[in-house]
Amino acid sequence: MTPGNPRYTRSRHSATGYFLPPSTSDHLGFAQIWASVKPRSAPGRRAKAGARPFLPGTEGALEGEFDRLEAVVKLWDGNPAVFSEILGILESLKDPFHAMDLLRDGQVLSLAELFILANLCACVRRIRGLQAQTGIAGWPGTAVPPGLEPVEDLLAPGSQGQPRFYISDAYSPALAETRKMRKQAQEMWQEQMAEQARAVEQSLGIRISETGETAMRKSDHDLIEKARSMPELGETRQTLTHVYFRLIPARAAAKREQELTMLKQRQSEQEAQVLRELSLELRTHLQAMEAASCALGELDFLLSKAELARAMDATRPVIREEPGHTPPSDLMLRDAFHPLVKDEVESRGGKYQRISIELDSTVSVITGPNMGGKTVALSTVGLCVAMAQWGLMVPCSKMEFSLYDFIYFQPGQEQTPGLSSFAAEIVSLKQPLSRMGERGLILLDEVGRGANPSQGRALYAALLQYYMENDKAGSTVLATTHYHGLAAALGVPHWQVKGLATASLDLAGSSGEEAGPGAETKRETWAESDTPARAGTKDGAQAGTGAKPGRHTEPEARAQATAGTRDDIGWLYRHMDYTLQKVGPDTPTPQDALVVAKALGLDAEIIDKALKFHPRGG
Amino acid sequence: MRETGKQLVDVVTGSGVRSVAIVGTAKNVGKTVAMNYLVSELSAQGLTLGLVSSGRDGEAIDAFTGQPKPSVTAPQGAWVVTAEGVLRGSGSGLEIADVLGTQGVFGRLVLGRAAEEVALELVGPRSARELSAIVSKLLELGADMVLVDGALDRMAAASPKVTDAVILATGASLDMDLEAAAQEMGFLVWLLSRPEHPVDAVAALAREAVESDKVCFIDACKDTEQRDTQQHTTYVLRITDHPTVLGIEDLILEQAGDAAAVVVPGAVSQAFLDKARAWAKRREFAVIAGDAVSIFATKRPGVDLYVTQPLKLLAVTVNPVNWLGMSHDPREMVGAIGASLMDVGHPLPVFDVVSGEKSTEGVGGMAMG
Repeated sequence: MTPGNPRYTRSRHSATGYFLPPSTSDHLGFAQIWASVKPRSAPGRRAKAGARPFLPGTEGALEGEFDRLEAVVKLWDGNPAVFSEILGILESLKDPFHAMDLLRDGQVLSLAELFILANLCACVRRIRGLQAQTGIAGWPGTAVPPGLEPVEDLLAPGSQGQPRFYISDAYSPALAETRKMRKQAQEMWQEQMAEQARAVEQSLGIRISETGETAMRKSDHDLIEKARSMPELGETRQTLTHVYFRLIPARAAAKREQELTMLKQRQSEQEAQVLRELSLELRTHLQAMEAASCALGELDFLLSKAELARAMDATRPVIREEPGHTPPSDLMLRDAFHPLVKDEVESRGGKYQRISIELDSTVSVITGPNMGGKTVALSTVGLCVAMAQWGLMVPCSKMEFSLYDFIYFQPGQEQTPGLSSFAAEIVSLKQPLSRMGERGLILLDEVGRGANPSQGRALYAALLQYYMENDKAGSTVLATTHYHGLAAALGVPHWQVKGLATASLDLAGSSGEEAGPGAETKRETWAESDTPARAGTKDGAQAGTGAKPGRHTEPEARAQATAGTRDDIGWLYRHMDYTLQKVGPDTPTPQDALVVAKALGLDAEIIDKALKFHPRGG
Repeated sequence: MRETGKQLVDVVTGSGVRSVAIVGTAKNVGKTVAMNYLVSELSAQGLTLGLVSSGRDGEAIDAFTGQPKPSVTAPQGAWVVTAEGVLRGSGSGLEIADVLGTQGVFGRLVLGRAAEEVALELVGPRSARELSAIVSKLLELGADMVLVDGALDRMAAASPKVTDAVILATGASLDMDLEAAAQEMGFLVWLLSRPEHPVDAVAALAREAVESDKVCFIDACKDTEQRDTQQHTTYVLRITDHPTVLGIEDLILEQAGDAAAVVVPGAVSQAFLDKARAWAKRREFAVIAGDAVSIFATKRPGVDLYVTQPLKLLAVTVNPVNWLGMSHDPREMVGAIGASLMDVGHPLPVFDVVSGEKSTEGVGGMAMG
């Protein structure tokens, strides 16, 4: 289990299950949206990992979260340059937690860890400076780090620029003295050795390398004999052709070498002492550093949520709270959109149509034509609630709701190995039914589709009726269906996708009429012009299989690629009105399957035959 | 007796490059010696150095402490990248300026400036992309020249995406037969010297093709009316769906049609070259790779071979002594390799920085040095 992953977070006061079951999180596209909240720093990622959904009873805390988020969005709009600078600083913030853990354990920090703490101080100083520019009072208090000047003074004596860490002489006069002596000794030694090398080079007429080594051909007997007789040279090794010598330090230089070794030893002891003392002193500032890291994390997480809100021009939801009472089962969304589907529709040049809906009864039903966006409507409702309860602004112009204990989404076609789609559906449905005492948002997409029509319809109606009669927690059930008269039979609110202006399609007419897209003769099929993978991501529709949020599979795209031509689908997109309207319970369910089939270019002869089996209006 | 005339350091400073990879052909070829020689000579000229390694050879571990043994002496003021594990042994002389995200056996990579002379082992990132970013960062921080210690089997350091130029270090360890060693070096230098396609239009299309990250063909369309005049040939890029040729060599070549060249964005294997050679028997056909480092050829391929980004070879260093202590005559070895490079048409200065022997056979402007 990953903490903070919305797919695996159990609700706080429910022992029975998740706020958002993993499959629901995927189907709604919430997992993808949550993944797009990307804090830039380790503290920010830690803050995100610690986030939990806000459940009934925590309305106040959620309002507080939205207050902070709103404040930051407002500041951002007014000071874009300051914010881009803050984001840059957060990006450069190193993970300070390991260094702080080591300090807590009483360990001595390494140079790298000390640099990381210097980096923390510098980031805090710069961010506080920027926050002061816009007026500290405007910032949520939890996102303003406390100053770390005393720590910064410890880590970078005399420097206030870029974060650096060095065991400078300022830490210890004794160390400074040792370094000075060592440097002098080093220089003298080098000078002595160079002098020695020059003398040998002159006397033998050979070159001595940087490493103090030299090689002589074995054939140069005299030279080798001479070299062997010189106390300045020591023979190191022989090869087939050469004898190698190394420069031996003369007495003065050898003494210097000993002195150097001693000074080097003393220097590293003194440096280690500085690190020990520094670590001990830093430990006394641990609390301040932890507080600053948490505040930076909070700031970073808040900014990444604000970034998402700004990118989708999202809205703060109104949370209704009626303490002591069961919340009314109502949920209102105006001009809501599904950001993932909207991106897809717009990336293929389409125009995304937003939806509005008001749910004021335990059960509501949505009907509409195939390719009419019923599934997208369900997902949009679920996504808005999920985002709101995870403390994110919502993609709509207005939202009012009360907090839910859980969200459940039952997809139309569930694939489980070893089970038929109907069996898988029944097994899944037992999950929300086992949580009848909790307030759920239950989104059902054409339940019973896999069964025979009359029994499927009966089962669906019974399920909805069961909720109407037994739900005491104020749940909201939203169900899409093709079944005619389901809303009327149950007497529940009925929402319908406006759908196709069917008048523009002469169903009974012969094939090739100008009205329909099938009339166009030159057809560029998807399969020819695009790879299936590209079609799957680029040509998703607002409705239908191509636009199931969060799930785009190649087989779906391939099925579309062979089912319809691009012109046909484009025609369908242009003529489909995705608006949801509230209609009377008796309003007939649209019989648009044949229209859609024709629009997608199915052979006219088949359409004609189908009409004979199923006369229009039947 | 200090030699007069151009030395390896003069070749480097005279080339105008800002970053050099020192790449060894095998173990014990004197790469570290060449690196230290350059560090000391370049810093003696007052240059601020940036020092980094690609990966790590893994041979210089102190058996007693388990810590890497120092391989390079960074002069005061030099910028250095290494792993924090290395610093525990020897790094208090570094002023730490950054801790990079890359994790390795020796911990995170750190970037620092030598506040005093520091002897340390260089440990670098494994990927060419990270290495390239570090080289840029060192230059940004004010290094006049960045030296990349190309760890064994990491030709990536030599990629033009990472460094401006390359020094090849070779030695006697691979093959005691001097002639064979010289021939092998000749082949390697030939391979690393692959130029751009001589036809400008083809070279330009090839550069574009490499950007697509897909195997591409360059088709030659001859003007039908003036079939035999070269200047009326136009070239067209044809992009395939394949990001690589590996494992699908035949499939790729079957799509070649009348293409004048195939552009391969990733690795070019010997298997692909063998098949391309058979293909090229029937028509004019060239293989173009992104850079020479991506070509994994073991012999001259018998097909025209080009790159989109040629790399700049500055010099070759030799170590005549192998790990058994057996040695070629430095002068003979330097001469043999110099002659072999002449034979393949890519003369380069050859140095033994220990003995001071050098060969500048066929290298313009060097002989007088």
